[in-house]
Amino acid sequence: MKLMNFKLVTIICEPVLSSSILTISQDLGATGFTVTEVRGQGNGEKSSGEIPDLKSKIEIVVEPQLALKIMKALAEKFFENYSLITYSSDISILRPEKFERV
Amino acid sequence: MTAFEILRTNLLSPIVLAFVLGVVTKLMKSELSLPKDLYSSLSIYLLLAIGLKGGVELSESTFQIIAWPAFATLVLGCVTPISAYIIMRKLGRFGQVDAAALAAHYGSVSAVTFIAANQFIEHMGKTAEGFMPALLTLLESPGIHIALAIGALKRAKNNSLVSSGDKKTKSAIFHEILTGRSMILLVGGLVIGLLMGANAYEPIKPFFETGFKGALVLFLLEMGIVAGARLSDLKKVGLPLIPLGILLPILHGALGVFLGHWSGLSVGGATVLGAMAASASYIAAPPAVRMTLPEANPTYYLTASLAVTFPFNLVVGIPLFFKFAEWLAG
Repeated sequence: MKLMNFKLVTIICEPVLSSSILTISQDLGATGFTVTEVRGQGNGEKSSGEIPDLKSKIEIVVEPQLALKIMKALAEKFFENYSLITYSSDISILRPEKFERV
Repeated sequence: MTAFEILRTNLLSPIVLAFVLGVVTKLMKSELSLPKDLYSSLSIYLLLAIGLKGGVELSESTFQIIAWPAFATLVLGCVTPISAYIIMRKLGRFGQVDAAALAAHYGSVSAVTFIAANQFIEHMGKTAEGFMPALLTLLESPGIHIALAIGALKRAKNNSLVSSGDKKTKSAIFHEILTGRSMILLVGGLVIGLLMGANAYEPIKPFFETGFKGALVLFLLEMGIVAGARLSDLKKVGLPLIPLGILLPILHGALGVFLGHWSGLSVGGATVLGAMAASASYIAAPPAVRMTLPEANPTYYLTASLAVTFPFNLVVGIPLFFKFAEWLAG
């Protein structure tokens, strides 16, 4: 088996956004996701929700070109009014076919 | 009892003291907070307990008794978001979107305030009608929808670029309000209680009633911590929120007590209805508002609802509405 270069897109956002973000990324072609509940604070943010520093961390493994597409879509839709950050990192995976839309 | 004595009794009740402890805890910058899962579990327990009990009592009441109070509740659900919007615009000088966001919170209802009001009147030796939890579910959603509709309309007028996704969002919001935890637990509990009746409730009653007040104390401790965390935001968002966060519950509460009395509720029932109308939602409304009116500043509505209106109702509002209800009843 050979290691393949992929991207890990990470989004840390207010919990209320997570379901919309998952829908958008899946519509664009992401095949899976991992969500964890985390705590944290950003710069000049508008906190929402009962517990102010509670955030969702969403991780998505995608092909490099799809990573940028997803990040751009999220930026366009949410950056102006919501608290979220998104970044991508290089990762190596096995079984690239697992991340392809069937 | 004089107004002063009532206030004093209320201040020294375990739930108010627990709330104060929570606020003090936060002000002292202690790291204490309830584990999030315990907080959720407690709210599930409390909401289901009032749903079940309400359902059982509903199975023993008739449509004629409920009809007028239910009508009064719906009137409140339609009037309070509009009056809140107008007051926030005119007196608070908030922008249209922020005013609509605030109105959604004041138009909806806080279940904890409802529970606190029930505890209070019980303490005063009165009881509220058993079907009050059914009214609670009636009051929860119309206010949010009306206020969000006002906000969406104003936004559409100001902004020709209404996104095509708006329709989708709207049905998503509707879905979210209807399937939110408080709706499911309250309505679900009511239906279960209604179907099973008093006999079947007997075996599960000890679990849902014996621990209820204790669980409420723990819950209020966490509410105090959450409200305390919002106190520092008060300085940031400006002080007009304080008088407005007190004026609105007084107005809405008085209207609620009045309509409750008019529709035939007892002193206890009218007090609880007043407290419901006076309360500002902090569970159902915030996510719905966040998704529909993203430009509205969440600090305004969360601070007003959690750091001003909730404590006001808990400490002063509920006894005030009780006095007014007593006075109306002669």
